[in-house]
Amino acid sequence: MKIAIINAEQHREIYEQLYSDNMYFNPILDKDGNMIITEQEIDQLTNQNVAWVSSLIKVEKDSQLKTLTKEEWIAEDIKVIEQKLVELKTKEIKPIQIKL
Amino acid sequence: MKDKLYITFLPPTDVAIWQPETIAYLGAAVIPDDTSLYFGGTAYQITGAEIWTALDACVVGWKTDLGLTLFQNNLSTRFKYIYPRIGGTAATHALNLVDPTLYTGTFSGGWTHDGSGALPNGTNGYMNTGFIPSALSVTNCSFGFDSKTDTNGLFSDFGGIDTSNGDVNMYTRVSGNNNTRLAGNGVNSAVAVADSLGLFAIKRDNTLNYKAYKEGSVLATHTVTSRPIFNSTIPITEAAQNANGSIIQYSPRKRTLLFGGLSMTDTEVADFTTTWRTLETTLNR
Repeated sequence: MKIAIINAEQHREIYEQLYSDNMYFNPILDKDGNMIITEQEIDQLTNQNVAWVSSLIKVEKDSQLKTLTKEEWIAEDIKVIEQKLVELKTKEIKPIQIKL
Repeated sequence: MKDKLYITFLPPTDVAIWQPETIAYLGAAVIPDDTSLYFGGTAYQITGAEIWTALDACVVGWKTDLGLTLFQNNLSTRFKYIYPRIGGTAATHALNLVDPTLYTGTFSGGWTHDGSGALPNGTNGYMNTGFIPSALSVTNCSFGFDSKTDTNGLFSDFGGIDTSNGDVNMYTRVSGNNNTRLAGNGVNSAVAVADSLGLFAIKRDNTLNYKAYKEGSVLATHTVTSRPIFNSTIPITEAAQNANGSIIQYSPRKRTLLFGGLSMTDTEVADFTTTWRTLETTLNR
């Protein structure tokens, strides 16, 4: 089984969207906490509104298994934002020298 | 020479040839009764006309098995949904033979559809029937599916779990057991089973127990100790379990049939299975 990891923004774009006739994306979290979709959703893609999906890199992955609710996805997004904030806070800020 | 009189008898044009359900289902699937070829070059190659003949024979068989009048739109008096997976696409596999305008399935995640049936990927593929069990009485219901894959694991092949109001679930084979739940007390009932191939069903017709079947034979009679009610608001999903709204335990088993409806007797389950198997043989799957 191959899967592709997607980020929060990509997830927003495909959430509740069709990837082909009568087939909806179902992004899930794998056991490592990555948001993933599967090779069938990539290989059978016909929805040109999300054509970027076909260029996702597929990798072998063990599967996990729970579909998140909207609330859980929001919680996952908040985690990403909080992680970014931590990164920003710990980033070394160099003074800017301005020549007058 | 005397003139000869030729009399030709033409059949009246309003005589029904097909069962109403066959006409509605294959009409919705856009499979014409002609020489159009499906799944050409595969083991499942078949013409539209052959599909019509085979499916209609199955519908006639089921109606005969269940004592229903032929040429009446009456499968709905015994079933809520039957998905026979004919046509080889997600659109056709989502159609309900009982009434193609009701409980059209919604596929999500990874599936492969072709002439051999519908194969979920076991990672995120499932189908929502949209059917809520409370539309049936817990003491008068049956559910089942036809499995084409022999695996042993914690995979739910159909299920809707509402822990407050009644459960339906089928672990076809896990730890060597057929492990099911039918409005029980939140506990599955298990019975040893040799493999996960064939038509598996559960049915209940009383407050005390329910039965599990494999390919028309009784696997077990399971005692139900509590909750003889069926107020679930959780739709039944296929190839995964809808556990209070969360989709879990995805199954990798290929399937060609999913059904749910009123209870059946042991004989009816056996006959229903035999009739279905005849269609499957015709379709070479």
